[in-house]
Amino acid sequence: MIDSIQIRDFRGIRWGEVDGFKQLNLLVGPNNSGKSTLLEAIYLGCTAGQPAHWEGDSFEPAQVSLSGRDFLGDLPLLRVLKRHRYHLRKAGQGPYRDGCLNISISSPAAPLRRFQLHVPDLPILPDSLRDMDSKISRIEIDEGAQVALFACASGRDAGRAERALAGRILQLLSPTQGAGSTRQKTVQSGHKTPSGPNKQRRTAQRGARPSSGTAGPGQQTAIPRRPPAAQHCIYLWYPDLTYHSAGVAAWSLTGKLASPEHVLFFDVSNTHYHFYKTFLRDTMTRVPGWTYKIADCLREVLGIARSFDFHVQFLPAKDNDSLIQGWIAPRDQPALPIDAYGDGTRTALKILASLLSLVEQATADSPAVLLWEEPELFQNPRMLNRLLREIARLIEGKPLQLFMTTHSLEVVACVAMLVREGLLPADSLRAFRFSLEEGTLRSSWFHADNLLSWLERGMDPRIWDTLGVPLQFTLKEQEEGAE
Amino acid sequence: MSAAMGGSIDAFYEGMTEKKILHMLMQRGLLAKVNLCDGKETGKTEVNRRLRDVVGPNVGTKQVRCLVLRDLDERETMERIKQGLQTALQALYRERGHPKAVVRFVRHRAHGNVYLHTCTELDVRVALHIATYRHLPDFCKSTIDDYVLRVALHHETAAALIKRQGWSISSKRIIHKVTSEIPALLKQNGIPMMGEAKDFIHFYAALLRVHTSPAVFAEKILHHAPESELREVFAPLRAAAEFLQDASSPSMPGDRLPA
Repeated sequence: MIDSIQIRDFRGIRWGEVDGFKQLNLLVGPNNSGKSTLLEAIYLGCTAGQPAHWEGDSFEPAQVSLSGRDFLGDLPLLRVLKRHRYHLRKAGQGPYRDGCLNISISSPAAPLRRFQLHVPDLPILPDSLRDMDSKISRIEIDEGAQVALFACASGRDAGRAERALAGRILQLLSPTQGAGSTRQKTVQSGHKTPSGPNKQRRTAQRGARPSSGTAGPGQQTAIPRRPPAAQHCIYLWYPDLTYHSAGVAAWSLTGKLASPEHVLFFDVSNTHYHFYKTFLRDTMTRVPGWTYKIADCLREVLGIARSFDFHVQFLPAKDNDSLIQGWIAPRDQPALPIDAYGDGTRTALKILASLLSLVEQATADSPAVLLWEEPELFQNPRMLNRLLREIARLIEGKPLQLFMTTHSLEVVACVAMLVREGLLPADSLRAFRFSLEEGTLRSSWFHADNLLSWLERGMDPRIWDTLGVPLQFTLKEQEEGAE
Repeated sequence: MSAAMGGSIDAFYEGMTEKKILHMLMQRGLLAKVNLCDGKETGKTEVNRRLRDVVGPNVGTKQVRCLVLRDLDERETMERIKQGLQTALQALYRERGHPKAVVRFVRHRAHGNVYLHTCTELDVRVALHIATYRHLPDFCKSTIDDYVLRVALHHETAAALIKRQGWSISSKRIIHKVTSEIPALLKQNGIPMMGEAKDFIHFYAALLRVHTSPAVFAEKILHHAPESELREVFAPLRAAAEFLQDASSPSMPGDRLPA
């Protein structure tokens, strides 16, 4: 389970730190308060899993990892770029030759400016992703453009060079460092002759990392906040994703991370996109009775458990045979593609189908994480309530950590009620309320009792001040109060 | 802390009577606006828990101002009430990652039943008001109802309530009935003397045919009471709120308050 995160210069966050994550985390706060940024940082952090090999003058060859595919088969960095409509372009890369990428970062503030990444099996952009956004054309894309971050570890199990590298990244996380700060001495690494694939080192399984560790010998200064814990450090140099185009961003995660193939990022785009065929193939072999389970769950969510008998099918999408489309086949009626239904039903089917597969594959050794942006989208409050209840039922007792951003008081209230009814353990829930002031992320947290108390009193945990509209959770007034 | 992060005053109390009193004092412009933080559960044991649940998320992130109203029950002491709140606050600070924050309550200089706590680094202020006034020295406890009863027995309040009923009886007679005749009647019949202010309130309400709960009756009493009487009776409560309200005042502003 992820315990905490420290962020420097990633998207709208100049600096921020959040700790005390639980199994179920609700992220609330005004617009532009850092909720989605946090979700993306966790997403990219957890999915940096493809082994690569870093070389520079100041550090021995170190193990790093690049973005792997996530649970649904997406390439995380591309997914994040697409969410923000950024054009895919190369960031700091020289040509990709002989399995190596030479990286040269122009930002003078970057602590690591020139290095070499050995990535013999660079992830290839799937055609479906290329085709889905007209702004991303084949001509613009170079495979190297997908590489704009790497991750490494600071724990004891990490190699000496990796720890040294992590130490350098962690220095960036100091609250006194940041965008425009050049106090950090930069590292100028020479470009070496590319090594062949046989020289690369495999990244250690992150699940085996210890819960604590020490900084490596290459680390020049102490890490300000939490030096003893093993940290998973991410270094990103895609300028569009950095604070005010600072050029580089860094963040670290502590705790046991999910492996990339167990990370599910679910947002509005999932409603409108199909699943990859590879996802269907993997799920069908690993999750017996998957489509029946989806149908059962969907009936509950739609509130038609008895009146509407149907089953769920997945068939190749008409416009792209690498994708599959869900179908609902009622008894004695022609089947209809899920996309013929409303967005609420489409969303419900897709989150349920994904989650049913994810929870079956997650294990204690290889836990899962669900990053869900605004579950309230397209949902009527009643259906939303049933959907969240079904989700709670599915994740109960499973090694899955859930992060949900929301603007909906109904989501907050529903989760609180699930705790009150005993469907979610009280100690598994934490809500975080965020604000962002001049790039500094501020947060406060609520445990289940806080949340229930606030809701009972008509207080709104989503906002810091007043809502400005006459809306209250409850307007009960006992005129003839009993005493 | 920016102005945008400024908070308001949250009030925590044992029951509905306090809620109605605070509400009416605010309505009459005698108290700063406070958020009334009651809950499904009432009673003294709930007060500290409720404070923790409501205020917790704001500690360290937002200005926190709390007004705590407690009765002085039988076998209860002011020291114990103060200590209980102190312990609750210490636990709250610890929970919120500030174990070194010191919780110390200081007695208000002008009002011995008001205790004040300031934590500058977390921008927290808490004022504890303990009901210590007893209508009769024989009462087993001091409650907020004693204050209500005192206001109710003011001749102007009684007169206003009688007028509301359209009666011609004098306020002096009604007050005499509540304070003398009824207790004497009870005594003559071998019925134990009423032990707390709420008992008197019940009789008072019955005499005036106000069929409602003591809490709502308290609200009606405060509604009809003269302002000068409310100012005097609730001076400690108002001083406690003033401490919370005045951001520029020193930590212990007793000497700045009206006598």
